[in-house]
Amino acid sequence: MGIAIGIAGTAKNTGKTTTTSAIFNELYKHKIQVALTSIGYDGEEIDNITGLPKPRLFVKKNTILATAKKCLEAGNADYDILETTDISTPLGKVCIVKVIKEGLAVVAGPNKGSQLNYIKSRMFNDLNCKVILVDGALNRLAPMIETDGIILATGASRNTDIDVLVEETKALYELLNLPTISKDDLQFLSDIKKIALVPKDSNAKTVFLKYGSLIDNEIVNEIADIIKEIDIKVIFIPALISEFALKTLNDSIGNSWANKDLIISDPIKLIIGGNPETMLKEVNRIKCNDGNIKALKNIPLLAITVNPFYPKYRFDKSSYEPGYINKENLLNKMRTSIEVPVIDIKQEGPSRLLESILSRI
Amino acid sequence: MIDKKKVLLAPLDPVHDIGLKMIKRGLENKGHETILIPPDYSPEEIIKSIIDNDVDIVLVSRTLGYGVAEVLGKFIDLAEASGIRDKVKIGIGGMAVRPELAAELGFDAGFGPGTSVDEAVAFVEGREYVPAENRSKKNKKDITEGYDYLFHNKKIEKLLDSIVDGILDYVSDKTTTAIQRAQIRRQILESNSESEKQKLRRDYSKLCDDVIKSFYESGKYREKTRPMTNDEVDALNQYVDAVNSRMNPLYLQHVDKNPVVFIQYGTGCPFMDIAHIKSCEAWGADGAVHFDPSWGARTEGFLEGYITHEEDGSVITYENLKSIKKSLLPNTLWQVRAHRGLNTPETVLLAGKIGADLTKINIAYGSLGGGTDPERLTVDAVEAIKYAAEFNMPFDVVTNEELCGVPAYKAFAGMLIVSKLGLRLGAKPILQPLFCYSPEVMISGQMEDNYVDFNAAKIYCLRNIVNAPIWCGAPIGFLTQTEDRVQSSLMTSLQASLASSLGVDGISIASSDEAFSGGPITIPARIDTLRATQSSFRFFGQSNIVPTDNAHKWAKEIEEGIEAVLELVLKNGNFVNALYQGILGSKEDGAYPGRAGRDSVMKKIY
Repeated sequence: MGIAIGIAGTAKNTGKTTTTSAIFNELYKHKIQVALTSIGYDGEEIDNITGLPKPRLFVKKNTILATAKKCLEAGNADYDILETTDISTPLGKVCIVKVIKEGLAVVAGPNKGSQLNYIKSRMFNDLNCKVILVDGALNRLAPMIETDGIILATGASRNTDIDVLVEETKALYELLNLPTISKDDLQFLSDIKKIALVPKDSNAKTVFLKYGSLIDNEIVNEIADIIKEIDIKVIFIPALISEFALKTLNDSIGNSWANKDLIISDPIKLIIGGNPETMLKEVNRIKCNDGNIKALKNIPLLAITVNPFYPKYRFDKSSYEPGYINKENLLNKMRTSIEVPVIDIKQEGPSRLLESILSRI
Repeated sequence: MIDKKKVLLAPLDPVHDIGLKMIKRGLENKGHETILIPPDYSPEEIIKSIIDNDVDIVLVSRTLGYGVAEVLGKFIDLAEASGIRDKVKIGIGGMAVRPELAAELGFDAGFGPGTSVDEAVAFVEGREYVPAENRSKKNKKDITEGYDYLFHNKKIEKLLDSIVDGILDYVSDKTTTAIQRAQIRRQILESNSESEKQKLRRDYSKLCDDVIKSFYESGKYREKTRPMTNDEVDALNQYVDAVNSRMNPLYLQHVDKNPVVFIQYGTGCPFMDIAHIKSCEAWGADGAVHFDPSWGARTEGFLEGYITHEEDGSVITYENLKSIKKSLLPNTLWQVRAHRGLNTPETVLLAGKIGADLTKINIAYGSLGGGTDPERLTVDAVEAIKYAAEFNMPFDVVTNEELCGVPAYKAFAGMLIVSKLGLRLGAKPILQPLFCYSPEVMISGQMEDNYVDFNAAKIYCLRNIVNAPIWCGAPIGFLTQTEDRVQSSLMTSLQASLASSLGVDGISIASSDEAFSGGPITIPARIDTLRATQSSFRFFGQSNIVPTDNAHKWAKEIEEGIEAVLELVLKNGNFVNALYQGILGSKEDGAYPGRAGRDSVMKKIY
């Protein structure tokens, strides 16, 4: 069995495609069968928004790709179509292909987790891939739940203030590394699709809400009302948790978190719901009130790549031009705050990144 | 039977939801249930509405800008994290949305500008969108259809008939090398024997000037002129196939009375010409006019082969014209000009043989503003008009001598003479008055207040005289445009709508950089005026621009002026002399009888 690695950019131009290319080249060097797909579309020559050129992915012979049909005509690589799946995208059906002539490729893969899961199983089980790279973005994080770990590409394009950037990345790291629940609890909770309130009294029935997500006052109030009447030990939220709703829940439960567990499906459901730093603050409030927060599944942050480049807007010319923040400062502050490899991929190359990947195969 | 769907329409935008309201009506007409939520809901609130209403489809609208793409991607993430993504289809619409962006953001479909309601309904119903038949097929329009050329002004008709008698009598015993070359060219084209063709080419070259003769005798090309390579010709064919395979042309006309719209090309390079034509076809042009090079108008004889050159206009050869014709959409009207120069009969012959729809012949303009000797052009033009009649190619009679300074009434007199000559020879002439800010009106002040009245006067005048098709040129708005592309586009579009309001049949438009490009014009500038014209047609629809009383007053004055000029031409004895003497446009007006081909007319040898 291999490993599926998600590569998530925190914004456009954070170096995600550069990171993907570098890992690719390293895997080619080690002759490891590699596959690539993406969540949605990327690899375009010109950035959709800024008009600046973007690198495209160079794929070598025998690489497996999952990409939409129209993308096969773009770029200059040639392919053998192994399967045309039923997965529809605005760029046509997603095809699983093998590269027969190396060249530049445009990848637009499935955009739902369930679809990614299918692609992954075909690549691992039928095509003997050892590493699957999933090109994604912070704003398209949900399908990343199907990966085994994430490499985060961040940098000045996300925020030119280094301190803010480091704080945000640290928050992401801590959220992604929430503790997981025991196997017994996992068995009990993994099939539940609605918010469940599990009483301390083992004879009492678990209360299920109409919704799977914690997204507004109405749902928060319902939970708070139940907690007032029943002594609850676990609040299980299988779907989305919004920043606003978690804050309201904290406000309303407060000290009553003591000896209670908030169990979430995975950290991504939390990260998607709001600003990572605010989310982390709310998570810490639960802990401060002697509550616990755990996840059914974790998606560990394997490494961080940083890019000091950002598209700088010139008001006098009404166009963008390259801008840079202090790279050394960025690397130092990031490395001091976060306990995973922090890499300037352009300068250092991908060998350290590959170590974190290979160690997991 | 299509399943009825429950659709949530969500403007993820502070204010904009007009597109969704239109789609809502379309969906309800098809029996689908719709829920339109108000603008300014948060993404979380929209997600909750999706869950609460248990909908099948969500259509989100948003105007995109920097950072908003992240918001939309995040919305899709929220939908997936909420567990609804696998059972709900989500489409996104907005002015900056394209399928690629929709894919990048993770939506199931993207609807950009120009999306029809039916397209969105097709997405909801899970069927492929097929554009309505009448919008996907453009028809070629015959702009002479329905005109009987009945003269309302009988006095003018009588004068014209007498002048035409004189012309036909004048040319009856005359010929030129151009007429002879056209006859040989026809034999070359119709011969199946290569050896006969070679012999005919030798005969042809004897009738050419030295520049062309050296091509046939020693394969030498004129300076700045070269044959296209085989690779270039292959690439051109591939380009045309690729473009035509994905061509989905726009419509410029909004109502039936809107005229057909022609563009003009003549970049010097057939490849570039075709690229310009294809772009203009895509943006809705109905017709294209081939401009010949200036040097070609002063050269005796045509070259052969695929030829490009580094000057204005595009070299006329059978192969060049054929490749351009082959590239056209079936509905595109194609005109090859033959209104000046020393090769008019052969030009019309080639155009007819290759299948051009229209040609352009005017002795008065060609000899007073186009540099060709009046006698030579008169003799050649009669032959050219005969070819136009034989190949059933209507020809327009352009009055560009107005731009030299010739007053409209004189230019119109010349136009009507050539038109009547055309009718006598069995051809279908099209009147081509100018919509322009001419030297005449600059001096006399008819356009001091507006550009409407004097242009309207021209149309009223011509309509009073004869029931004939009118195609305003060439291009409309001449000398009203500046180096500012917006200003130029607006001028073009307003004059296009004036033409439409006056019920004309065709117009030629310039690009927005044509007057001031200082070099080759650009495709974006062509699109400027095509889009502006389309928008202007949309704006005015069936409504009309109302000229002031001056229009009718000036129309009458022009008509009286035409009568006076025609009387003078007749009094003078013959049309050719009238051209030399300035009756149809004098040196004082700014018109000079052309010198190319002077004294080259020969007596026919029987």
